[in-house]
Amino acid sequence: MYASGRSGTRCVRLAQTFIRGKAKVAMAGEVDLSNKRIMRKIAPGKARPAIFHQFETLVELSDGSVVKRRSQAPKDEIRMITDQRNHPLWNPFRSDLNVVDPNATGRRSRFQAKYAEFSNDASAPIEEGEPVSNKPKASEDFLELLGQNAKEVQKGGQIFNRKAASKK
Amino acid sequence: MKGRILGRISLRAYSTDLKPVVSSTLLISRTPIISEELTAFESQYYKYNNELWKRLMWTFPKWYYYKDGTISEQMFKELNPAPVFNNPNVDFPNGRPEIRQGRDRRFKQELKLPKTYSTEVERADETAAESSDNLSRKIVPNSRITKADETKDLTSLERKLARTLYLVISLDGNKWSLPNFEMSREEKVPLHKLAETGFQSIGGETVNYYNVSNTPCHLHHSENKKEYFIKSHILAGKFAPVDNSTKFMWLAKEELQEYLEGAYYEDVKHLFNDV
Amino acid sequence: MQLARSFSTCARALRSGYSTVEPVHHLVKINKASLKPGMTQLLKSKSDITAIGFKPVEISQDRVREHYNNTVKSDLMLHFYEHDAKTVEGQKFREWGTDSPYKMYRSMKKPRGKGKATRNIKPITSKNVPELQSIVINLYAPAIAEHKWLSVSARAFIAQITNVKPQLLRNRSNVIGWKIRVGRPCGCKVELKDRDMHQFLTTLTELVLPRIRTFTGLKPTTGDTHGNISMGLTEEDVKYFPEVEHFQELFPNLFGFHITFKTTARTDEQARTLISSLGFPFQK
Repeated sequence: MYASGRSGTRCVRLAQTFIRGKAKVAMAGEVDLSNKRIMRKIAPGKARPAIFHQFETLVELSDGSVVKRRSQAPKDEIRMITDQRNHPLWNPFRSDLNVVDPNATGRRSRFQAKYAEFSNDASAPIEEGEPVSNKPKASEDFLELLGQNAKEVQKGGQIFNRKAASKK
Repeated sequence: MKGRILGRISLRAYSTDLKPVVSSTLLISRTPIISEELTAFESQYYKYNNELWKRLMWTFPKWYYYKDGTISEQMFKELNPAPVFNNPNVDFPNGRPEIRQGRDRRFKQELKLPKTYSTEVERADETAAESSDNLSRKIVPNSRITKADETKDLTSLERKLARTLYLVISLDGNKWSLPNFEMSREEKVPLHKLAETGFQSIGGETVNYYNVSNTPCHLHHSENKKEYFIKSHILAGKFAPVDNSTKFMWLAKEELQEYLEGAYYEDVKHLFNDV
Repeated sequence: MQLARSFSTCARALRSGYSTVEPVHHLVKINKASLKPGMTQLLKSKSDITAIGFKPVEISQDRVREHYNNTVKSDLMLHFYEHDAKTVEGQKFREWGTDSPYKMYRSMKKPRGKGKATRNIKPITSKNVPELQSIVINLYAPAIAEHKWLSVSARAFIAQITNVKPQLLRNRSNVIGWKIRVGRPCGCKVELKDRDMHQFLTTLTELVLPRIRTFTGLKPTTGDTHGNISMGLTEEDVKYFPEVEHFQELFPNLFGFHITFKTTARTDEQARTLISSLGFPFQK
């Protein structure tokens, strides 16, 4: 996503494609557009308007509202899980939406998931009516989802703790 | 123009008297949530154009979406059998079929699509309410008439979803008016601030609203009083009066006519949305 | 009667000596072949129901149009109200003067500043409330230069997500290093209007943009200074369109494209307010 013109990410991506040579094209060698195909001539004034065959699709948004849209794809209904109605950008005053993206992969999101509880962010919104100390920690929260008998498994090596080592 | 002249005359009348009280009225509205109600003519007009458009639609490219030999193609074929073949040995009294790309092009093409929801779930839906969370249930548009419409709950924000509703309050339970707040003679505050703080003090503390402009949209002169109108929209929350004796209602334009004073309504009716 | 010396343009009409009629340098060419009876269909307007090219437009209710007419329009008028606002004159082409006959038919002097004529900015009244005119989608894919058949994929893709048949774009210049040749296909474009435009708009704001993880809103500086807003989608973003998402095998190659919102607003600020009222968030 970039707005109007070229932002940083776009430029970087373009540069990468140039370095690699060419952007990957699927089915590159398999398609052959024959020049021999003869198009039927349509006399001037005889062209019908281009109206693609369209179906009416019902789309259910995450808040339960249903909208109708016309689409060429043969699909009678679509149910959305993430959309405008439960996105924090469109609903800035809803405190229940700042959930961790389950699909987030990458070093930054992993770092954030791991050290989110240490961030001493005063500007972070605090839900009213609920004491902060009662909030489950991020890791506990996920364990709850797994079930009561689940146990956290140590993955990778233990980080060297200088303080603990000096005490021993 | 007429209003301006009248305004000047009344101003002149004030100059001999005490200075008029400046007040600010919050015209807070709930915008329509669903599409408009159509008149019979409008819906017929749309239907006519829609049928015309369907008749002009190109043939559905079945081969593009359903590849030969797949299960989905089989399902589609079962729902949409091929039209009658133009057999030269058979006589067609109602006209010969013109088959192009598996479609009789004398008529519009009407197709049925394989359903993505299972019919068993649909049947269960009627009996058990718990399956409403099922992600494979059929999508049914919600009713345009809500519970508040049925019980005629005038205080609900969920009534008349297709209309713009305006907040009216009553301090004594008899005389209804738009929420109006008077400026004190000592302390001068901007008009929009006056309306906002006044609204919060009577029970709009939990309302998330959007103020369209700081400029008032109308000026109403009454006896020794100047009433400025500040337009805003309610986005979320609920109006809950602080004082129990305060009554409130969310009303559409034609209902406002019943509750507001006649001459006052005539002066401000152009501010209310017909839809 | 004695005429005072003046610099007004009517002085030209009163002066004797040369004609005030604009000289005609060429005649209007008429293609007589197009006037024969077989061509009468061409003379009909496309909105005429008897015309072959007639396309029904008002086929259903339009909820974006309703929202604009019922809520946004009056709000924008109040929002843009300025007390005692005056028309801001734009830069115009200038006359050279009338003191010499040589200046009479000389082409006009360029406007001040950048040398480009700009429009007057009038105060907003009920007659000129900013409105969304059309959405233009412009797709340029460099890969088409090498694989010509991709232009078909690109057009099919745009037709799928907009329901409107796009127009093929061809290169207009030669760039040897990028293997670009004049006349070769390089992309496509489509101008959406009315219901097609509104459906694309709601698809974008309700279904597509909220699912793009990197999306933080449109840039607050976007605009071409004449009230047109533009944004872009990359080939990763585009896969969230419902038509693409549910039929992924039909789109082995995806393309990013530029989207321009053409509005009747005269300034970018007004256009941004309008676009934001139609459901597009802006970065802070």
